[in-house]
Amino acid sequence: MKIKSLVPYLWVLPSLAVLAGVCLYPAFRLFFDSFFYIKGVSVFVGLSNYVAILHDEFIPRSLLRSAIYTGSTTCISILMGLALALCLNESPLRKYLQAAVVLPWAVPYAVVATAFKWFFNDTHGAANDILMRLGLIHAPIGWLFDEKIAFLVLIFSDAWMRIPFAAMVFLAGLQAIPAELYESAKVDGAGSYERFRYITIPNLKAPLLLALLMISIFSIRTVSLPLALTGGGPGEATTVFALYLYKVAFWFMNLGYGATLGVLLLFIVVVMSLIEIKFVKVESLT
Amino acid sequence: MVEKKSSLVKWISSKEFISTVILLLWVVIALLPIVFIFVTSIKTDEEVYLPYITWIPQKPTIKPYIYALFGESPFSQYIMNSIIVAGTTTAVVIILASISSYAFSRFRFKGGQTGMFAVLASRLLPPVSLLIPWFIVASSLQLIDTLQALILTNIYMNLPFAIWLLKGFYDAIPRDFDDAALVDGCSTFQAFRKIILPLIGPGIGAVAVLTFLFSWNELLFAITLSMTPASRVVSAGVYDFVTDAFIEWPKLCAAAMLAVIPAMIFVIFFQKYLVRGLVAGALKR
Repeated sequence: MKIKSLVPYLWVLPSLAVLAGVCLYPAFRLFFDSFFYIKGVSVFVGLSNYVAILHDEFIPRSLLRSAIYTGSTTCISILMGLALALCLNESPLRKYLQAAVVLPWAVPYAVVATAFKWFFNDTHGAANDILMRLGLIHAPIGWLFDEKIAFLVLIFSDAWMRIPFAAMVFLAGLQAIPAELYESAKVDGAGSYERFRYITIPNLKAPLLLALLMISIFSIRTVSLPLALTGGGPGEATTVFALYLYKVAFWFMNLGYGATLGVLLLFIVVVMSLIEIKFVKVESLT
Repeated sequence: MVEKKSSLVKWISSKEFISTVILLLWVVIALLPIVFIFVTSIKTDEEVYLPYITWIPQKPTIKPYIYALFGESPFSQYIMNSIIVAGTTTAVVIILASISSYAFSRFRFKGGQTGMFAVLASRLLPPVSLLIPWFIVASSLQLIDTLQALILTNIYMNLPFAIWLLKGFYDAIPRDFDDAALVDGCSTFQAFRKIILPLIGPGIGAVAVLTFLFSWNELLFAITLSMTPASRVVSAGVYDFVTDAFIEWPKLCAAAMLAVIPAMIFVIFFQKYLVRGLVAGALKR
């Protein structure tokens, strides 16, 4: 449809005007505020917030935690999601089981935190109870009081709510593969392993890229889950970078420096997604 | 006899059977934490703090729910706030997105592609980063502790996604439909409203379900931009309970079950829309 007039702009104007106000302006303000010291008063400080980043010893530590957290939760979600999608694709009970598989994805962060904090409660939680009844452990474990175990529980609970997303993406990918491909391969004498290796896997590259991108972008910026589950503790064991940013801005009310860390997080997310897109594309060419 | 046995073995070793068993196992394990908070939410205090765990409550009670709904932190009010925030956000997002996505799908105009790209790219912005300017601006506009602020932030988080999702649904409808309507004397807007809009019902459904759910579940802005119960939503109420120094578990579990109701309803009754929205657009390119 060719319309020369201003009509198309009138159609998109309401949305873009709203987005300019609620998204574009705050994004602009984020950069603007990163040059200020804001704590009650607002003072222009030039680049000194950015210089402060270089000397902030919490940043490397929290970034390392973010990398481990994002990397593990993305890998676990993709592997488990793929396995569940393959099972759902074969199961005659798919209609009924799909709802149960999807559910964790729709559960609010606050409830995920509640469920895992309670499940892994040291004295009254179900995890210790089940493991002791099975005879796998003899004394209750203080899951959320041990630095390493608390970090594992955080990764586990994060993956728990992202696996369904990966499963749905892979399932849609599996269902988009034409059945004729499998039939003609069968006629040509390909066994079930060959069909999986040479038809299923190559056709799942688009869903793989999507799951990789979405899950890593979402988990690297997650604040709500560690905040509600452990508050970043014990000590600072579960303080990932995004949570450190939140604490700087809203616990210590250092909004200017928080904005600078916010710019850094945005930069990290953009670079990470560009690398992922490039990596998967190059890989799919070979 | 031999034949029967071998068909049983064949059935047990079939892909269908093994997949279903794995799925059932997964579902039981994965849903255990949710089952555990449900079980706790209908227990008495004494039973919750027993030295061992009872998976079937001995004396089921709805007291934790009464306490959560009408107690010191009244979830009845938080639920109302959540419905207002999620409902308004959903209505605004549907109206705005359905109109602009149509234009992005149908009209070729200067800046159209760039606009669509900007909408998509905005999803890369980490909400926790934008929370800081949001907080500063909301403070200066005296929007802190209002439902309006929460509605606006939820629009920011859902509108780009909704535009992207609906554009995919419009793209799937052949242009012949528009052309036929125009030939019959409809204006562009009439063609959109009377012919095309009804055809993307499933798309609108997916946007509605997802936007409502995301707004209902949203926690970060809800706890930062709200100070008093007047603007507290359900997810923030649960957060207050779970980060309390002394947690009253049955009450918290009851509140958590109330907060998870929309998720349950949508997953059980609107699964088709939910899953469709979840993966739509994603697999086309």
